[in-house]
Amino acid sequence: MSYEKLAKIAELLYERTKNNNIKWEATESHDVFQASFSHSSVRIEETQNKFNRHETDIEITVINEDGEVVEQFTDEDISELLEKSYQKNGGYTKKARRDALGVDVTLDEIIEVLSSTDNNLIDDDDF
Amino acid sequence: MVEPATSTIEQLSLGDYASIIGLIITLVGFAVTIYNVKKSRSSSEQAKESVNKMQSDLRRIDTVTDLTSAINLADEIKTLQRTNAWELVPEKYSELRKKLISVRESEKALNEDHQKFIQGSITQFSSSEKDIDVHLKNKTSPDSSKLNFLVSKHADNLQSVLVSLKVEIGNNYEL
Repeated sequence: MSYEKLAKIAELLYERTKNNNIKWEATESHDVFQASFSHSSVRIEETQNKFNRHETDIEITVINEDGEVVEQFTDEDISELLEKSYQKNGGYTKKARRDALGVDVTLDEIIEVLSSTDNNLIDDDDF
Repeated sequence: MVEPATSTIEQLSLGDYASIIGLIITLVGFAVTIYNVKKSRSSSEQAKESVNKMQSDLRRIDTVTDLTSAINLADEIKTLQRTNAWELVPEKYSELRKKLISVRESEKALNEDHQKFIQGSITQFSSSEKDIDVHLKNKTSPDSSKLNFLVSKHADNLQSVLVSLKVEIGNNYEL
C-alpha cells in the first residue's frame, strides 16, 4: 500500500472540501458520503477507533471506474505522514455532510425567502 | 502572297500578342484547374466529414438507447424495492451498473460533468447491491425508501445526460 499517495489523497480531499471545490453526495448510509470524478470515486465515513472505542477515525474508501473498492484506509494509517490528520479529517466530514445534504443551500434559500417575506410584511403593515 | 502576310504580322508584332494571349489563356486555364482540384478536394473532405458525423450520431443513438434502457431499469428496481422483492434486486443493480459502464465506454463525447454523474451512479449502485446482499445474508430488511431516494436521484442525473445527448444528435449538420 502506498501510504504517501493515500496521505496525498486525504490532504487534497480536505483542501477541496474546505474550499467548496468538491461535490459530496449522500449514500445508502447516513454517515457515509461520496464524491465522484470522471473515472473514480471516494467515500468518507466516521468509524470507531480499533484500539480506543471512545475515539473516532475517519475512513476513506477509494473506488475504481467499475464501482469496485480498491483501497480503504483510516487517518490512523497515515498519521505519520499527515500531521494532525484526525483534526483535518474530522473537520471535513462535517463539511461533507453539510454539502451532501445541501444544508447551506437550504439555509440560504430560507434566509432569502424570510428576508423577502419580512420586507413584504413591513410594507403591508399599516403602521 | 505569303510574304506580304508575314510582313504585316511582323509589322504589327502580332506574334508577340499571340504569345501573350496564349500565356494568359494558359494561366487562366491553370487557375481554373487549381480551383477545380481544390473544389473537388473540398467536396471530398466535406463528404468524409459528413460520414464521420453520421457515424458519431449513429453511435450516439445507440448510447441514447442504452441510457434510456438504464433509466427504465432504475424504475424497475424502485418497484421491486417498494414491493420488497429483495432477492431480485441485486441482479438488477448489477445489470444497471454494467449498462452504465457500457454507456461511458461507447460515448467518448461525454463531458466531465456527465462522466461524474455516470461514475457516481456506478459507485452508488454497486454499493447498494452489496448493501442488499448483506441484508439478505443477515435476513434483515434494507431501507427501501432510502434506496429508492438514491435510485431516483441518480436516475435524474442520468436523465439530464440523456437529454443533452438527444439534443446533440443531428446538431452537426448545416441546413
